[in-house]
Amino acid sequence: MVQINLEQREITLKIVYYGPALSGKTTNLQAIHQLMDPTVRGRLMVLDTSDDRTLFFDLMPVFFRSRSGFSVKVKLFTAPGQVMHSSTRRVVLQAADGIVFVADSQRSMTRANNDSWRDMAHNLKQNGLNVQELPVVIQFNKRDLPDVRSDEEIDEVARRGREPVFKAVALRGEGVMETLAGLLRFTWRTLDARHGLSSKLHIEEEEFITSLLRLSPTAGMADQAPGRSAP
Amino acid sequence: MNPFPAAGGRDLSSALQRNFSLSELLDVAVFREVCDSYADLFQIGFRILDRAGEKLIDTKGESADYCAYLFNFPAGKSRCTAEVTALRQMDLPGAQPLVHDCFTGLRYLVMPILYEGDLMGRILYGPYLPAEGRPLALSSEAMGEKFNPDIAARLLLRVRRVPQAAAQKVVRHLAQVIEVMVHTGYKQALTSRMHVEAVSASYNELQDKNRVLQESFERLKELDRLKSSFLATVSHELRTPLTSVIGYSEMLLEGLAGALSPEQTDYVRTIMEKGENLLSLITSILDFSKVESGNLRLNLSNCNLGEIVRAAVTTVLPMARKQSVEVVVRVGENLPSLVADGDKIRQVLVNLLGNAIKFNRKGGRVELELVNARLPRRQPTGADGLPEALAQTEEPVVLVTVRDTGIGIPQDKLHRVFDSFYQVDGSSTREYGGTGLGLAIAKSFVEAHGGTIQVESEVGKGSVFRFVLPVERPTQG
Repeated sequence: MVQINLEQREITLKIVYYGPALSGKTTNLQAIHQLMDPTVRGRLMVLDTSDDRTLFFDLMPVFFRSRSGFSVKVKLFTAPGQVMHSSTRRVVLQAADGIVFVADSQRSMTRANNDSWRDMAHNLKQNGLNVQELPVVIQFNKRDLPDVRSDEEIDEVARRGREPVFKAVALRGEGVMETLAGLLRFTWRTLDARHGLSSKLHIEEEEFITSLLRLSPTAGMADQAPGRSAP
Repeated sequence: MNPFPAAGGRDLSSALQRNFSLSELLDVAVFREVCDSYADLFQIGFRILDRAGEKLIDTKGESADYCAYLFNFPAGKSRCTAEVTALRQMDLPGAQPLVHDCFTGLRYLVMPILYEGDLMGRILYGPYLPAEGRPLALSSEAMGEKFNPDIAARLLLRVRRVPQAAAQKVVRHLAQVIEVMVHTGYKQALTSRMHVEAVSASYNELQDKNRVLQESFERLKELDRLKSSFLATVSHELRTPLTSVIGYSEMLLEGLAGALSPEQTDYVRTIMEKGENLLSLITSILDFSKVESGNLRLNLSNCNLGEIVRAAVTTVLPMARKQSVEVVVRVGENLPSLVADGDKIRQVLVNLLGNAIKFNRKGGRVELELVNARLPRRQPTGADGLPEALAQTEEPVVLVTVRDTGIGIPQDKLHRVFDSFYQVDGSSTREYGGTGLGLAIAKSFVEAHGGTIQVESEVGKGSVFRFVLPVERPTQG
């Protein structure tokens, strides 16, 4: 649920990385943290257990000040993947504006992906949200592992589905920014259509995307255009 | 939902999106100590204001006496207040300290406290004397008649002179320290918030599940009650015509309708016997369904145990004779008279003796023994119960033992023999007949009297059933 404070000239969006346990949600955030220009992102807050698995959530804000003088902030959350943390996942999902569903590309994880998606839809419903109406992109992570679903298979399911699909190797930072760019664009368009953000706040889609996705000059990555755009 | 909340309205849609104020994120007491040390170290005082302009920290530096002296004069007071208001309201667009010179020529640095791009508050650093500049000489014309420029000059000497670059560096460091503290506080606030939210979400979830469980439990209980009451009605409806069948057969046998041929007599006797079997079966079911539906009522009266035993043994004796089983009865001396439901106690004895005979071998033996005994019993202790010293009591009981030399019950089946409709061997139903209700009924009758029943057995050797009946009726708690 985007929060807009016209008085304070602030707008805050909430993005949640969801997916089965160990699919790489935290790794996505870590990669973004590393790749992004430190002036547009805050600290990566990790609330994890002793075994390095997410207990509550990870949180990293990205933000900029628009030309129209609005403070725009996007908070990136990860939901804990382990089955036991169901209530935490629901709390993290509260009022989400967009979701990156991080799926594990390994064939053996197909079932876990499906279960997690159903769990997400259920939890969204509990929060009064509808998975069909929310901007959601799917990231097939761990493309570098053996026995993963082939590129052709993924392209095929991407063509058939409603959700934009991205491929990634989050550990190496590949595809991570493209995924985020895809979701931010999708989210902006959805919110703009619903609440008329552009006209009310005088922020254009391109300003929103390019201001948020400023890469760190030291990240050693070419200044690449944001990946596949959302429909 | 409307994402444009009314001014001041709090949006509760996400527990994790809330904005915290500086004083919520910092442990102000600890933070004050840090700031005091910082001021001591550099001999420059500073103030920290939160987003709303409220003063959180106010440390004294070497300029304090000078400023206090000027503040004594109305002109000084009003000009100083105006300066502070200006500092409070100064627009802070970037992340860098801004310079503000006050009317005395002393200098302030105003540093924004930013967290995640949000302005959380500001540091008013100073005043100090810029090493590059010189203080303005204040005159008594400007300050008032009593103003003494000499005192002012002497106090001014104590104000720390600092090069601009050094002051900027110090204030930037201070801002960094605060940012780290804010981050830690924010993390802590989110964690505890999350804890609370997760616990309350789990709690709600459990509440929902409990409600569903409770509902289905109530439904099951109701179904069970309906089942039992149906059973009771049906048994009753079955018994009534059966009594007529038996009665008319009896009349035929007695020749009330004329003499019967030997063959006819034989047939009618069979009808009567089977009718009686059926009747006792139905009676068991009726008893049991009463127990199940919670309609079991005890007709309490003073009972003579000897008479009850005699009646029970008389009932089973024909069956024992048929099976060539010997029934031995030992009744102890001085048995008390019990306040009990005599019919129910007799029924328990009949059921136990009946089983002991039914599952015996030909030429076997059944012993029934009644003795006085004392049963140790532990009463509840603790806040609502008795003190430990009084909790152990002994209760006078009548111990009834039924011992047989029959087929026995395997150890793994022992715990189930009191279950309703349970028979140890499915096939034994065919061989020995019965409903599998006898022991279940016996158990509920004994327990209704405040007693307990137990069984021991050895396969091939026989079984021992023991039950106790309290002599004193338990006090209702």
